[in-house]
Amino acid sequence: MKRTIKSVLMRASVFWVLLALPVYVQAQSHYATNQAQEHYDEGINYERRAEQQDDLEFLHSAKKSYEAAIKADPNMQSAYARLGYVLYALQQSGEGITRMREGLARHVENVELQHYLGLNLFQHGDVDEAEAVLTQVVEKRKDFAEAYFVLGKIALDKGDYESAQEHFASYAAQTPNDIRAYRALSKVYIEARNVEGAESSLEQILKLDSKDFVATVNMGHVKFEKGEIDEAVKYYERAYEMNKKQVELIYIIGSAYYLSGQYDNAIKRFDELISLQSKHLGAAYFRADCYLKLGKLDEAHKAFTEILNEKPDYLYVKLKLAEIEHLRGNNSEAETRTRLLLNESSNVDDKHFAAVLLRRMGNIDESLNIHKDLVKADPKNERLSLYLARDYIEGRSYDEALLIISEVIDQHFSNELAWEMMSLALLYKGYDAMLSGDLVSARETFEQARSTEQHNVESLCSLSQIAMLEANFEGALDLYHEAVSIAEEHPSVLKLGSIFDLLMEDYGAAQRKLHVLQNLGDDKIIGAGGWYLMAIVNSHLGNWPLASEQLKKAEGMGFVDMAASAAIALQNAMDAAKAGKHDELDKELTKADMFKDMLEPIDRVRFNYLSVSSMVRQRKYSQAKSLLEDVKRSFNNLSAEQRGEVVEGGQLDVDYELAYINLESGSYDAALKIIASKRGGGEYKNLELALRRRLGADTFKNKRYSQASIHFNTAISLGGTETADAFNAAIADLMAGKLRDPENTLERYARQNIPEALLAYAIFLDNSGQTAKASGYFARYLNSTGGRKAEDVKKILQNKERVWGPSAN
Amino acid sequence: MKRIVLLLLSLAFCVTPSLASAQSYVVAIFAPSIDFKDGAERNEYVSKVAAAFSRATGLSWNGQAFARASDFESARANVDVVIVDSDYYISKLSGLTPLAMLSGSSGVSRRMHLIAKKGASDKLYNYRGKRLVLVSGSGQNKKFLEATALANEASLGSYFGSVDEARDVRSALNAVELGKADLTLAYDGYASGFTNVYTSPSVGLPVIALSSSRISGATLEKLKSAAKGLGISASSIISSSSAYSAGEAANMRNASSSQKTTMSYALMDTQTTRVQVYSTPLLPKRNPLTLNPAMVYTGPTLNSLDKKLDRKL
Repeated sequence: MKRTIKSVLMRASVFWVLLALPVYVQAQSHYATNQAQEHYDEGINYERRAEQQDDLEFLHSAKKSYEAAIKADPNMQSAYARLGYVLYALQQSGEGITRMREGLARHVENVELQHYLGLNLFQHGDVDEAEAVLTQVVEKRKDFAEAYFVLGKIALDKGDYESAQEHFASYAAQTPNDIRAYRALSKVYIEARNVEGAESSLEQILKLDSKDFVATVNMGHVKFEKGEIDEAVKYYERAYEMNKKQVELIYIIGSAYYLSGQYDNAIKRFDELISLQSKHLGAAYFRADCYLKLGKLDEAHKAFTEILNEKPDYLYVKLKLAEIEHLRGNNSEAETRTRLLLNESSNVDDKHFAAVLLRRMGNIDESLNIHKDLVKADPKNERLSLYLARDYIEGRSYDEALLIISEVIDQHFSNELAWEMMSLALLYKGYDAMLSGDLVSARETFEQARSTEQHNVESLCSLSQIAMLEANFEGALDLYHEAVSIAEEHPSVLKLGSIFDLLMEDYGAAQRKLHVLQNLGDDKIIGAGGWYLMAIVNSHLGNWPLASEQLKKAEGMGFVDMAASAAIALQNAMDAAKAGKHDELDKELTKADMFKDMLEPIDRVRFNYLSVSSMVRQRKYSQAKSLLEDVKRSFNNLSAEQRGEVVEGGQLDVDYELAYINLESGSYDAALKIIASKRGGGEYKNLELALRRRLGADTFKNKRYSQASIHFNTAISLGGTETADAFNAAIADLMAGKLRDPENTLERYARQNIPEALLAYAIFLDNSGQTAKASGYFARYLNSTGGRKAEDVKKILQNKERVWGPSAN
Repeated sequence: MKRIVLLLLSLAFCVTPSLASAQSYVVAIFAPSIDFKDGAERNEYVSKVAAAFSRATGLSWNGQAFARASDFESARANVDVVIVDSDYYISKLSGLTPLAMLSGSSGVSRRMHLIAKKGASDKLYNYRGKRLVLVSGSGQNKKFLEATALANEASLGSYFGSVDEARDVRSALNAVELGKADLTLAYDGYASGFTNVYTSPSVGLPVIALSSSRISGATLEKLKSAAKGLGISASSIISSSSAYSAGEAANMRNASSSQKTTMSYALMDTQTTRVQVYSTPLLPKRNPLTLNPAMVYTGPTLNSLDKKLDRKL
């Protein structure tokens, strides 16, 4: 069973009734002969009594009296007229027609007799003749309200709403307090889908009878159609108060809330209905769907599962459960379930929904094929054709989509959704052309979209963008102002307006417009373009963190502006570098690297300079050196002003980095050369200190002990005040044979319990034949934290103990 | 006492090599590290080997056993196949064609023990200045002991009171047992009844090698095959023969050449050897993002359309 809100509301329209109550028109007296006049007056009296006592029997007496009057005076036109009315009221229209024709034979021009002839003809079923006669009547006399009413009914039955509305309006004008007039009018308006007219006539009905149930419900429908959901709900509530047996009204109220997106309120109503009718499937389904729409996936899952427990074969609900899996991020599970259900079902709605789910999960081709099959099986189904077109739009195959939409429109010209889709597909197609730089095609396509009159504002804005890109700034502004005149706060207008503001460097104005845009609604309304514009504005205002966040949002919605992405990544990298967050720096540089070709020259210098430091940290010295040369060159190619924007004073000295890279890559001589040229100031002194230490260790390793001694001692002279510097110099001197009193020197360091010093003293003692003492220091070295080559030392100690005994240790 | 008398008798017995006839081939054994009970047992072993070679090659083979290196060296010119201690083979007989190695329960190599008289100390450092007796041969065993047992901490000469040589392992074991020496070196399996002072790394067992050029071609192949497949027991540790392993044969020499475990002077790490590379701070960016008006979509979104389409469901 497929229930839709639309079908529910349509079903509710059974309340639309037109109550054709009998007409009573006050008789007028016409005097002829005295006898005839007496019969006539008698007839009038009977009519009055019939009305007063609501008793048709008196009309039978009236009939006899008028017949007697006519007999007494065959020319008494007024008696014919009243007889015509009485026969009509007694529903003896066959006789009524005969008597009226009889009267008209004598009094051809009597409009009153023509009037009653027309009414009786209508009652008798001779509608065409009745229409012809009554049309003549109203042409001659405007005061026969009932003629208008009947003509209105005839027109209504023929579907001629315009004529019906005119006739009923004329009737209402003459009988302003007759509720039937407004009932009839409201029916006409509703049939004609004239919401304003229906609202006006329903207002009249409710003014005359505030308890009119049907009018109250219909007013609810009218308000709903107007989008005044709260008002609609008020009328539905009022109607429900009038007739509590109509529990279906609760369903209508819940549905109204559902369709207006007030899901919490909808859930309350559906709950209320389910408490009265526990098996109300519609209420249960839409309540579950409300949870889904609210993102309450667990509740939705529970509610749909409950429905499934009642109706295990409800495949559509199973698909809803698959949708929940998709929303939970379990796409693989959702896809598997969807495909299984797709194979199980032959129902069109099931298949369509499965296709939609697959499309949402990125399987556009699959969705497309399903819809193709559905359309093939039912080519005249405009709804399915539009779904297929929707898939083509998703796949950016706009021409295919447009072809299908055009076919639908050819067959169903009034299909508003098809027109809207056509407009949308054209705008998307135009946007693609605009992005690819084909402005001529873009403009043509936007013009076509505009001609559909579906998205006037958006079409104008798009055309304005084209004019802007064609440097026709004046034309662009004209189109923009035209759009503003239609809807100043339309999202498209606000975005376009902010573009103009940006171009005119009025960032405050742009920010204000975008602020309004932001307040309009959620991300979908703001759109990727909206976030992009906000990022641009904030970058102008120097608010880079916010700009970065906003561009990220735009990118999250599929937006790609490589230049902006690269610039933002660079800015983030600069911030990370400043904060010393190296991982963050590397991440942002990697991102910027993807689009580095889009960077402006000044940003390229910044990017490369930061990349050098990243490469150095990653020990990619060769690449770093080469890039640093590039930085040097490209920095010098910048204008003086730009150089001043990059670094303080406009001077970028990369010699320090070069010296560092040489140091780290082992090109010590080259590093020393640069350092020497800088005469040892500040950072260079530290760099040389590091270099001397490195050189000392390097030459020591190569057994060039005298050279090592020189480097270590130079390090001390450069401010190397650490114990390590002095110790290393001492060891180098020892190995070079230059250390005075080595035993005492080494013993002094060993006293500080420095592992290397303990080891050095142990080795010295061992080499000097002081085995037992050496073993003691080897043991202390072993126990000290940070002792290197512990296994070797353990082995030495074991050997010594085996050979020399425990006293060795 | 009876055992000692027999041993002394065996020392006195000199095996006289028999002359090989013109058509005969000779296999000779000189393996002083292998403990044959006496000369007769040594002769019996080599005779069995000769018989096996005869069977395998179809030639006539005779066995000869030598107790002294000098006798063995003198007779070598007439010997076709030798069975010698692996250290002797490696040090003295390079250039021969190895055929196989004798093997026992632990394969073609075996640990050795520095052993003392039963009941004596098992600590090496207690034998400083004491008497060491070693089997005479290649002399490799001295270097081997210095490098392994003494870990090159001292030379044998400086560490022990005396270092003497015995003709073979049986003589060395007797010397320790009789108190004529305090320590000796012998394969694992011969240390029973002694105190183990030190266990060495594994050392190769004797090598079987081709010593003449008289055998070649198919006969040589047969001989090789026979040499590797000897199922003849000897002493208490030899049970068969196996393929030659150059590595195992050279174990003693390799271990002998190891150096004293020493440490070299290490430098201390300095804390500030690494310096910061990023030196020039970049100024904050002043150039904003560049607006691309074409990037901004001002059309309607699919979202509103989808809502309407979904209502059709």
